[in-house]
Amino acid sequence: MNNKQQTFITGYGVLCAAGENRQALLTSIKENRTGIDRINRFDTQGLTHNVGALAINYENHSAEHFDMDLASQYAIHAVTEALEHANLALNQMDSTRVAFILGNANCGMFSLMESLKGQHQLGFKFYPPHQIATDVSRHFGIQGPVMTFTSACTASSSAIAFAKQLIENDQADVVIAGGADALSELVYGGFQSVQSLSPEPCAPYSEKMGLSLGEGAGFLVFESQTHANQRNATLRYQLLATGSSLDAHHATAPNPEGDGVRRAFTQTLSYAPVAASDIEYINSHGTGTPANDGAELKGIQSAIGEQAMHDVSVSSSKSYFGHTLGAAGAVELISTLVSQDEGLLPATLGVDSIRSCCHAYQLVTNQARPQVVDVFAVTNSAFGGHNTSMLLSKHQKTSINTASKPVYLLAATSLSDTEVYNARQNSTDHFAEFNLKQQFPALFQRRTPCVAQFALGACQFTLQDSDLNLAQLPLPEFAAYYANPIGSLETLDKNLASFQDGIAELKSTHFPNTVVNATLGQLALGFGFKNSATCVSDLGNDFLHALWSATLDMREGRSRYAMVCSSQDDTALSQQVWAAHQFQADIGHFSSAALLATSEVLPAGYQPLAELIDFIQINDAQEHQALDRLLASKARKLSQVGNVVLSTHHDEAFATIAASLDSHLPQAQLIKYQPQTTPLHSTELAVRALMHALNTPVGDTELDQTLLLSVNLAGSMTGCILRTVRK
Amino acid sequence: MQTYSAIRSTLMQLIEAELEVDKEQLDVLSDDANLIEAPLFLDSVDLMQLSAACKKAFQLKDLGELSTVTLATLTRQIALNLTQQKQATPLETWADQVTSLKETDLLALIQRSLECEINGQVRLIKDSTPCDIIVSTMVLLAHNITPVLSANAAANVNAFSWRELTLANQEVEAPFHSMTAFLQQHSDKTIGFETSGSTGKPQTWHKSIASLHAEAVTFADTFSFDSVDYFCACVDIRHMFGFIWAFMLPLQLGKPVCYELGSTPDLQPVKDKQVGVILTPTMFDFVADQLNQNHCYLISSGAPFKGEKEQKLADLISYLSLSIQAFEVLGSTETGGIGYRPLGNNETHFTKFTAVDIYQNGEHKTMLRSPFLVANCDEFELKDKLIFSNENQFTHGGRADQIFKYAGKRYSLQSIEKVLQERFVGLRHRVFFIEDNNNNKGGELVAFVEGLSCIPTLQDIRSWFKDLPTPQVHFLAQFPENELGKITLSALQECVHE
Repeated sequence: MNNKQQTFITGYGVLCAAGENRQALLTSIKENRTGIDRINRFDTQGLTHNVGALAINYENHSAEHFDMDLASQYAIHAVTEALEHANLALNQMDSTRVAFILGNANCGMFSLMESLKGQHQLGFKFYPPHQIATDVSRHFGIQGPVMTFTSACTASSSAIAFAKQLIENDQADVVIAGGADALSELVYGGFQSVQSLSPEPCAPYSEKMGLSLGEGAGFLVFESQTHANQRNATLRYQLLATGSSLDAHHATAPNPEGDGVRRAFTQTLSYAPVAASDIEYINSHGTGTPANDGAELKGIQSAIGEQAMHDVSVSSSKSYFGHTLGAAGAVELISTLVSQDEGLLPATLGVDSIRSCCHAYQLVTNQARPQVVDVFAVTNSAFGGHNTSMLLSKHQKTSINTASKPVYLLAATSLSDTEVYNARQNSTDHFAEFNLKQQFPALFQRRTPCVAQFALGACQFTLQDSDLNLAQLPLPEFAAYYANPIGSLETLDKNLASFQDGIAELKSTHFPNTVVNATLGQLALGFGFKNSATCVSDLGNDFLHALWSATLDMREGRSRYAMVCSSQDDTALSQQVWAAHQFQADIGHFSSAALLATSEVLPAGYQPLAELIDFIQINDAQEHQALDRLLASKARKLSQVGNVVLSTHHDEAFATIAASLDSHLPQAQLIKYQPQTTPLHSTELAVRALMHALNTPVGDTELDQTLLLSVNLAGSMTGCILRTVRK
Repeated sequence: MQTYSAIRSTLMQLIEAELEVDKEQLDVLSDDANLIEAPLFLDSVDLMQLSAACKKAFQLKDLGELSTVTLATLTRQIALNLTQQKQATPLETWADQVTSLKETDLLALIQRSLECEINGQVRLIKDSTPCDIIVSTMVLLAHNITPVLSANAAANVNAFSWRELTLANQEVEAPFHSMTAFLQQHSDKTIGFETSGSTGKPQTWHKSIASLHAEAVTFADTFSFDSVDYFCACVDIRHMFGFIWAFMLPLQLGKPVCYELGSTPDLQPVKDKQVGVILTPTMFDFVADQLNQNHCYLISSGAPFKGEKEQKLADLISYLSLSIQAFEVLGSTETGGIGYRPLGNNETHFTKFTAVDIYQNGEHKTMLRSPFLVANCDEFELKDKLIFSNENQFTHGGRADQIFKYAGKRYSLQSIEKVLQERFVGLRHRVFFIEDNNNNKGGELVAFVEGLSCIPTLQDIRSWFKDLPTPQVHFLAQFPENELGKITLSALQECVHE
């Protein structure tokens, strides 16, 4: 049992169709006014309707210097307000103790489309979602962990959950977390292709079916209680607990019984210092689609019980500002917070007649309701069948301290077009060409893009590599963590080809696979994984970040097994994206996977490859002063490191980092990892370095840990401290 | 307009290309397999894309929601929507000698009838005029009752007529904007057609609205009725042929139809309108002398359009320089349309409708597979002998050998007929085997011969058949023909009893 830090919200900022700041959003809520209107930013000719929710005054942002994506500009706007609200001056803090966690669904699609239309040249560079996090975090001089969660509509709630974990594990004092997304015609047309859009402003739970797409940003400042108290900050709300799950049901439709929502909510409750009956309000995902609303409420009810559900007020805020996708969890949470600041519950607007499946619930409709609540929840669900929930309170509660369970890496593989490397056997098998349909037909599904085929293949190879009895593995108990820097560009290519014939020509069969976490959903469907999950993106350290997320979840006991996977495809479009990052990647598809487990499920005598001890990150590895501060602050954690494996795409960074390592880890042997095969995928270097670290013996029994350091394409460095167990 | 098979073919291409379905899976896909189940396992996203692709490929404004869908239902749905789209203006009238019925009137009557209580699951329709038959049929469908059309229902106490309902008087707004939409809504329902039956006992065949519609679509596509302003139907719509040609087809084409029945049909066209004539061979004799330049189409079905009639038609075309296109359609209630041949130019070959598939099964039986079959029937054994000259063309060789078991031995009816044919050259004859389990020989073998003045003795008759069973031969002055020109066992037996 360790004494974890409690996590508090000290500030928040927002930009959406219903307001360009907290006050404006509150005014909209008080006046029962929707920001959903006609879309005029792009051509919707050929579509049956063009209703949407563009961020207020978005023109002010897009007209600015095009040195970052519109989503980045939205994020900066909201983060600035959040910091002001928290009365926090970042320049007065140790920047390595500040983290920035982004949730994003659409990638830099706005910029990409602008580039394709010839509006500017940087669209390809701005396309990777982690570029948004990089641009925003560097704008604020943040040097601590910077991560990007890309699980579509649950992205920002995943980001918020990770923020809590960073604070609880003392990896940051301040975490700015939330989400940002800019709407583009490709996304709008895609939702139309799956017949999800409403012809009028959405009114979830009502008989008017369909969602309204929105955009914007919402960010919150999370602080440890200790840090907030030290600076006399106002502890506005407490983040009590979070949870997540996978449906393993369908690419776009939720389980009709809300089973995934139930499991995410149940998990959240199991980590909360409150009972289900304490919950007074739930801001639900409530998209307005036929598939979502009833199923979600059913799932929540089965988690908290019929009586508690009868007593709880429920609304969806999406009728104010639409579905802001990657920003949804954060923006909707903020809509609840600004309302509660004034003693109100946000309503669902436009509800003339409640849908039959939603009659049984205490819905707040059409008018914000005066009611001060203490404990409240926010739920979100995403394509790929990912569900999240979070519990918050106005009054301080003492969070549950859970035992920290050791997490082991049992097996790992990397898969390319022609070979699979098995870390446990430390051997490579070759084949003419990887073909999921032929090699693992049970895992193959029609319309599965390459990124998912390779991910499924790598996971299956990993399970085989583990030497465990596969038939006895409880796959539904598995958590799943997926990483990909830019999603399926093979699918995006197809989508763009359809788009050339007009926005109305986008295909429903392609669109669901354009979101990064579509592959996460396919892993869940393929293997039946149903436990916790996240989907992350980076510019090289994607796999390490997924490992990090998995490790923190498993330490808390959320799952006993986890599959961690990354994959990346190779298309003409992906090459253009990487070329914009001065990176050559013309090398076929790639995937990697690792099987993790906690000690309680390891068979007697089983030797894992390594124990995952901890993770560190610095946003700009070449800022040597910051790096020194980070290494100094982690001196205790790094005291048993005997080997340092350092990989970087930037040779010039190596010397700076090596110098700092030399002074802070004099006991350790520095190994520069440079693979013989080049070029590599952006994610591949870190994976290969990890495989190398797993099979590099540590000579000293006292110094039995290895620090794997990997610098991504943007110069951010992530470190994984592991203890190789197998001799 | 596209045929059923053309729509189906395009659909298959769309499924393969748009949904990335393997060709091998498509090859084993049956028309009635639910697309969300084996072998395709499509999901909701696929169905959305398929719907979008269909709209584009068929230039449909709307296709409705695809939920439980098979290749067959989707094909019909597309055909129906194509029809709906084509009907920019509502169909004007169905008119018989008593009633003139507009489409809006019919829709309103159906809607008003919903206030009335109608009992039963299956009801015979006792109306005798076409417009009343149509109304009663549609009213029963709207009440989820299966209508059965029969020429012998008038005396049935349980038979139904919409005229016996007490309809609400108020103005109603029909939920359907067209009869096509109404029928689409009820496409899975069936209508029963009572036939005389080959064994003399009436038999009811149920046809789904979807199959009737598919047949009408095929006829509309196969023949070019563009020049027809309205149809003149000299057929009873209680027969399947009449219902399709004189109700479903005009509805499909959006063209008015007037019914001219009885022995004095009036075929004189309205002003200068071009008329399409729908008739049976029997009715041809009553109307032939009325044909003129305004009759641009003639369709005959229900019975063979035999030599002397065809010669008469050829002569008329020649003498009057008629520019009429005339066709005989081969088919039956059970099978629906099988093929067609032009009349008046000595063409003996029928062309198979493209949606129809005829093949020999493992037992060397001639089987027919078609979207026009009776409900719940995948394939049908043809009793007729069809001699194919190529893949799509055939001649009708009469009935195929029919085997019966008499006193424990197997014989063919053709062998009995052959004896009669040799004895009575040029005279019409019919042979039937009436199965009867109570008869120790398995049934009764009866024969009928027409127009013989000198009746042979029973001893003579026995001597003709030697190794064959001797039928009970009845000699009639004239064979009775029904309104379709058919000679049925029951009618022959009635003549004997008289």
